[in-house]
Amino acid sequence: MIESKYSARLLFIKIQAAEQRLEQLEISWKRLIIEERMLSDHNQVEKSAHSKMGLIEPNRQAIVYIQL
Amino acid sequence: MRSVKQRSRKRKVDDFSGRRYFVLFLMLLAMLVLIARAVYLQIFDTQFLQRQAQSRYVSTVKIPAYRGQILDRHGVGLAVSAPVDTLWVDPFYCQSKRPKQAQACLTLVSEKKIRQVADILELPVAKVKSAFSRSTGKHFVYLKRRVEPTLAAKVMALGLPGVALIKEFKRFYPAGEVTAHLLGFTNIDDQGQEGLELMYNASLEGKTGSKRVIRDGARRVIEDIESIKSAEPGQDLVLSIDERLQYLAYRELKAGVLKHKAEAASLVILEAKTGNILAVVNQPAFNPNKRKGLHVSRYKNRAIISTFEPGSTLKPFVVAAALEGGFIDAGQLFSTHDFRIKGRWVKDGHRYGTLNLTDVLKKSSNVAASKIALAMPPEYFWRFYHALGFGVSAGVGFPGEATGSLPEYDSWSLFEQATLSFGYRVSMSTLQLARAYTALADDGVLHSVSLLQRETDPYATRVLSIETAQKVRTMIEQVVQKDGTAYRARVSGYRVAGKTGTVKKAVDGGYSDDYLSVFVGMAPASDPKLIIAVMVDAPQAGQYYGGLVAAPIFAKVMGGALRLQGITPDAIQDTATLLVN
Repeated sequence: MIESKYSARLLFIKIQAAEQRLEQLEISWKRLIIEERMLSDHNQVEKSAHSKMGLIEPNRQAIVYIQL
Repeated sequence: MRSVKQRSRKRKVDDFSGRRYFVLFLMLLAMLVLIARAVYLQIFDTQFLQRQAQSRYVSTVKIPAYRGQILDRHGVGLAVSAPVDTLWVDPFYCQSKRPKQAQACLTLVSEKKIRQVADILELPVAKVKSAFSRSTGKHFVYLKRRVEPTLAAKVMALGLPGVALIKEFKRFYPAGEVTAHLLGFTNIDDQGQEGLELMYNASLEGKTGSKRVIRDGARRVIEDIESIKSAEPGQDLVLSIDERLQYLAYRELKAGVLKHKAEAASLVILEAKTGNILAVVNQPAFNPNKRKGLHVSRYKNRAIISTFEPGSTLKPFVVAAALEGGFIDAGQLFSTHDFRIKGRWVKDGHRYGTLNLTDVLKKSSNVAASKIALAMPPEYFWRFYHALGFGVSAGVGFPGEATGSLPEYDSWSLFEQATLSFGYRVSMSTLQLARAYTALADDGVLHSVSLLQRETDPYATRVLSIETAQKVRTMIEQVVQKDGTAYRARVSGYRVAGKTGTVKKAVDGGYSDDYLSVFVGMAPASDPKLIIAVMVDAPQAGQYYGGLVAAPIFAKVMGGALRLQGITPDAIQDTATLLVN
């Protein structure tokens, strides 16, 4: 009886630790999703493509279509 | 003497034994009382006492549930719930301690710490101070709701007595104003208030669970006793929206509105073969993540909710209806002199002389369209418009969705029948207008529209024969040619078919001096994949023709959308092609 009560307590502590960890992971997961979305925001990507990397959209005549 | 002495001693002994019995009796009585009390407490009063004890250390805790995410067709999150912490204070926390500890406890609430809290939470110091003040008599005061977990942890680390956390969720809209009208938003209690958040609130909403726990003296949970109800997260909602197209459409529409100083605008992109909605954007917009102080009118999803008279964009349908019913033939010619119906003039903006059917659409002649409309019996004409979904809700179920209006044919005057041919007296939303064009795009099959992803359209109905639909589509391809009304709607590499509309804006009891500039088109015209409808409300920068205001927006969005969707160009002659076998 005493032993089972003791092991139940130990298990409970483990569960709580695991639950806390789960919660922490959930928080950071959601934060990462949001962060990823912020970074991949089209406006930002477009701006840095234009200004930092000097990329441009080629006009239609410059595109060569390959038909397979 | 002696005997007297003995007698008196004897009497004394008797007295003692009486007292002894009395004391014994008292002790027995006391014991009985104790036993009775013990029995009473243990057997009769036990439930009450246990309940009292439990109410002090057992409590029920809510387990918050995630609200479902809203995703676009490729699984990109458009509305995501993230865990946040709500901080609250019990200003009377220290009072509940013993007097000596209470004093020590109160000294922990120092001016310096309150300043720090105010700093971390970006709150005015006075507000934090008032939360800790006992003058209101409240035992529960919000410090700040929905705080970033990292910030909340910093506040907790200060060790202010009586401060506690509640786990909650906050809705984030990563695309911000690009999807604002479509998704709507939730209130502070995570209930949908507008848009899709409201429409699908029941399935998005999670079910809050609850469990019983044992707490220690410091109100920390030390043991879970039982779970009463486990938390059920809400279901994710997968939309037909393509987030990249949504962004592209938003960017171009916004640029167009700025350029033409327009009051408002809306744009819809439809998948021609399924009726799936790929993008719905509006101007003016709002940022759903920061809504403070915005007027309610900003929340309006105009593309679905607001109606307008679509003007000449209906002319292709008039031609299609008349061809389908055999009331005109494809080779017929129309003279376009202004004419009168019971004293009221039907006029064109320019003199076009005699036009064939293709030129009627290419030049957008009101006179010729009226003549075609008048060649049809009102009932037939009405049925055709009705079948296209005019005056009927587009059926996406969006909160506040418009039905538009189409007057009953038995109340039509001849003049009204004529004006209906160039899109007056009938009103609809941008979405309804785009939907009607599916009939021309998908060879005569009208599609239902949907905001949810689906493979095929279960409600597709044929409203035109294949030949008529293709014939009319070929005609409106001419609209984007050099001498058509919408040369600026062309997209290099692709064949485009579409129709402009320039409408006097209807106001209460008449028409204002403002115009609506409209364009609806599809591409690639040989086998349309996308339909885009653009409506710009009251452009003030000089230009107002559909072909000059709405058409360029259409061209930019369509060009980008075709590229993003990887749709093969069908106008190969103006692009270099490498044939690889």
